[in-house]
Amino acid sequence: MKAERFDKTKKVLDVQNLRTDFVTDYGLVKAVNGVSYHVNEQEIVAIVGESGCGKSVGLLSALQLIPVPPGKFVSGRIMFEGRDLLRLKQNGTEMRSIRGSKISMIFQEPMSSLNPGLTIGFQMTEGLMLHLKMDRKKANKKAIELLGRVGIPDAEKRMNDYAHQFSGGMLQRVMIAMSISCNPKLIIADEPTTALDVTTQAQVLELLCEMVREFRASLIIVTHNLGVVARYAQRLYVMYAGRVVESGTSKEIFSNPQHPYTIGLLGSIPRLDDSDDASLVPIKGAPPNLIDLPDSCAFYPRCSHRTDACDQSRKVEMRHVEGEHYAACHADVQVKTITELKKKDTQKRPIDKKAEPLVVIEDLKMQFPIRRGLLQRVVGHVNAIDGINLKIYPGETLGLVGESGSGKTTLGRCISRIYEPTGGKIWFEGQDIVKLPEKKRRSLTRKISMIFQDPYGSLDPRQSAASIVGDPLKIHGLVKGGKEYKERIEELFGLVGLHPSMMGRVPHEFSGGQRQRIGVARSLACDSSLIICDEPVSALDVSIQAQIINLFVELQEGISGLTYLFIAHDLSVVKHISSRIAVMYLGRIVEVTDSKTIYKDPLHPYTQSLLASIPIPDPFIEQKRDHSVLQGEIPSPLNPPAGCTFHPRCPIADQKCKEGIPSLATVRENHEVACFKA
Amino acid sequence: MGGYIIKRLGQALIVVLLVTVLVFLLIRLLPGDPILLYVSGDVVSGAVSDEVIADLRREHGLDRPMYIQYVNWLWQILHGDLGKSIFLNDTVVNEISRAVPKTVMIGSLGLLLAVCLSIPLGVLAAVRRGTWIDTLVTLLANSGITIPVFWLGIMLIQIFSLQLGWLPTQGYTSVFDDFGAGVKSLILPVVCLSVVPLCALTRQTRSSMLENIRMDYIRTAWSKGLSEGLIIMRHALKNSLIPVVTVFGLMARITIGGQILIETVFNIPGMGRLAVEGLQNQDYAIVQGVVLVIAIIVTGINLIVDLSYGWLDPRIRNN
Repeated sequence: MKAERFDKTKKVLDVQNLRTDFVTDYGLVKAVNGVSYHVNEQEIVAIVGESGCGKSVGLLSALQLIPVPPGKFVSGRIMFEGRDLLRLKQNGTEMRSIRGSKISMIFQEPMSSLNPGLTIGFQMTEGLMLHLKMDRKKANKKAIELLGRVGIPDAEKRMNDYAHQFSGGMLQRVMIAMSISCNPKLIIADEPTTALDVTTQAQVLELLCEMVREFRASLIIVTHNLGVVARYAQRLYVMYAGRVVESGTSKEIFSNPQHPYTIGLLGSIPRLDDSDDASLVPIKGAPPNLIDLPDSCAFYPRCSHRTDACDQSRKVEMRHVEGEHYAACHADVQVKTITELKKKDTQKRPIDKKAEPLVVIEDLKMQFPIRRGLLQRVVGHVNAIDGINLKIYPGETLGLVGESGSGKTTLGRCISRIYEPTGGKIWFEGQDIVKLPEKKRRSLTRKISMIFQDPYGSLDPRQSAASIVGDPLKIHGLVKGGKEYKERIEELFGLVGLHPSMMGRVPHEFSGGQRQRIGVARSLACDSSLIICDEPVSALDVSIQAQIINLFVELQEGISGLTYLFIAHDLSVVKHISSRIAVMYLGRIVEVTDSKTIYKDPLHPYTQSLLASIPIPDPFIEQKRDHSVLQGEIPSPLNPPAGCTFHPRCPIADQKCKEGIPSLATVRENHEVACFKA
Repeated sequence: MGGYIIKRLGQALIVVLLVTVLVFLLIRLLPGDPILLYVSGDVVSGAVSDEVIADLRREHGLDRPMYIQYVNWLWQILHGDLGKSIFLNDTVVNEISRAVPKTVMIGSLGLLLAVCLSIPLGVLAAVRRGTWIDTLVTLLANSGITIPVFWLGIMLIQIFSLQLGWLPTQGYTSVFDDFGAGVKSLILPVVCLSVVPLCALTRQTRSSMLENIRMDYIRTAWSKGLSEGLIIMRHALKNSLIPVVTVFGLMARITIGGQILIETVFNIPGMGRLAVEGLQNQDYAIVQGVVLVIAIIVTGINLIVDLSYGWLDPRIRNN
């Protein structure tokens, strides 16, 4: 091998003491408050933190991409190739000659980050023609080559397509191609995979890192996903409330976290390899409001390690720990390892598998008609759910996972009878709720309630919290008189950890986590025995997510017989909370077993690939793991592949899989798989 | 795209057909009788016998049952004949073809002026948001939209024609007959007509641009190193135009109504005047003809507006 010619310690970008303010009507927001970070040649650096901690602003400031006003670059230096980028005129020629050519960016939502009105080809060639001075023909040729390189099939034809004709994963590939097109020294990726499915996320990240290596660039990746950091980043910065609170190599920080916030983050996230008795240790409270925040330690109010020695009158300095490891905390916090920290005293209550199931689903089918033409004639059907058999036992949490488009949400909505299934049976408390007439069904299905993903969109903005929670009580006539109504609401508020004094508030006066608590309180109002949770925590920040997950666990421990159907795409969350897990693919269940087995001994190749695509927040483990990712994307249910619907993406498929459809069969006790090879 | 155009043309044809039915019925619902109105006027002197009236009725086909009259009218239209005016002693086709060029000239120039000024002004105000330019443009646009057209016309005549004597007070000269005089006679009506659409379009362009320059893809364009001019013209403007085009379609229709006032104030014998006179006289054939032509123009504008959505937004094109 040739000797590496680059200098691993040479800084490509060196940001020193950057401060970016926003002047708002409510006060001054120091979005980035004295932040220093750097990235060396060919290094992958991650910046982690929850939303609003200033990680994006810190990076956008490097290219002066913050609108001024309301933004303002107050102080600091951004050294790049011997120049201070902050001294360049914001949108002047010099600044623009660096953007997109020497430093390029990849953004979060690929769908909205590309212009909907211009072809992909046009947007690809724009940079090439501007920075590399290519003519249209040359630029087109280069763009086609790049698109091919990042795995866009039929690149030449697709040059004339628009953003809406691509899937999210494909668009992010286009963005990657665009960002490397002018051979940049540095790529900044701002939450590049947050909006994508787990398998697509793995594909895109692998591609991004491969490209960065191939083009010998450096990469700064902004993320809230600590797993991604552990898998890809060499160094990381943890940010909180506009400051870097801890920095160092991934291995240093993951093995010896020093700042209480970092410790809190690591304790908040469920891991695939968590032991069965692990529980999350959330950070209490919520991130602070950044308006007119003092310069002293912003984490103090939430800190579980705070002491009298914490000086609230002074700015906290970074303390050197070892090597490259620094932490912004005066105390030398000695903590137990995260695994010890997460150890719970009580064991999960064993599920009585001999009990009668609460819900029995038999050969459930849900078809949606496709209508076309002037008269909206039905020209075909989408089989969103194609023959599902499933049992849910009382008191258990059944996790339901799969990529988007696999039919998980549809299944949840069929059970709660938001949708009318087109075939099959759903037995609940001894009666088939598919066939039952509306009136009889109502008193039965009130015991099935739902919690939705978006705590912002799923609550009526004009209703008070009390009436949101209390409506089901009135609708089903469960309380007599106003006094009992009020007492019951107070009780429900207490159950989910909301103060009764908040009853009169409307949804926008609550934070995201509190809103989701209102959703939980509402779902509990009718003494529900089954709660269908449809991605209940995926819109929340990590520390808040842990609080809500723990709430679910505590409620189940306290209310006998409370059963969850927990739908989520994040397998580590599902694995943490569920006793059993069902994996769905294209409207069918491909594997069902208990959550320990699914991690230790997955049998279906789809389950195996899902697990492989989820990074574990531990760089030592990630180093040893196989990073081969599932290829391709989930096919459209409009036109599912023949035979086993997974065979086109399956690494072990053979002729038999192309012809026959494997049915869900019990291969050993409590383990059902739909695969010929299992 | 071709199939889409054919489908839309078919829909447009149905709309025009419905308009013919409506206008045919509505004008006949008005109290009064055009023939009696005609013979009682100055055109025919002295007493008129019932026979003459019956003859006139027969001449204009008004003696036959209504549905036959309607079918006959449609049949005539297909042959390029819109009937004969009762009062004006000429065919409707001749009357309209004399009036249409004046109306279309003033209307299209007025709209063109509005579009040419409003889009740059709106873009400028949005890009320089919060500066004095933005304040001025917004203020003018908001006040301009409230000015009544007839009042503005009279004021313009007072200043530019009567006091300064630069422009003619009234009348219309075709630019093809006498270019100088033609242009002079056009200036005031065109300016007057363009004010309302100009203001409405400026406001819409500004707010739509403001919305678009906050979009993620504009940030991407900045991150590529493009200049502000390119970002505005290439990336923001095209996507901002969709609501502007909607307002344009609306304004085009309002402008046709506004022509009636303009043509009255400036004494121009165009479609608006023809329609008003036809209505006053209950001149069936004239009113029907004018409304038909206007209906065709309006559906034509709507068609163009709809098709330009497809051009502006590829997501619509592919559906």
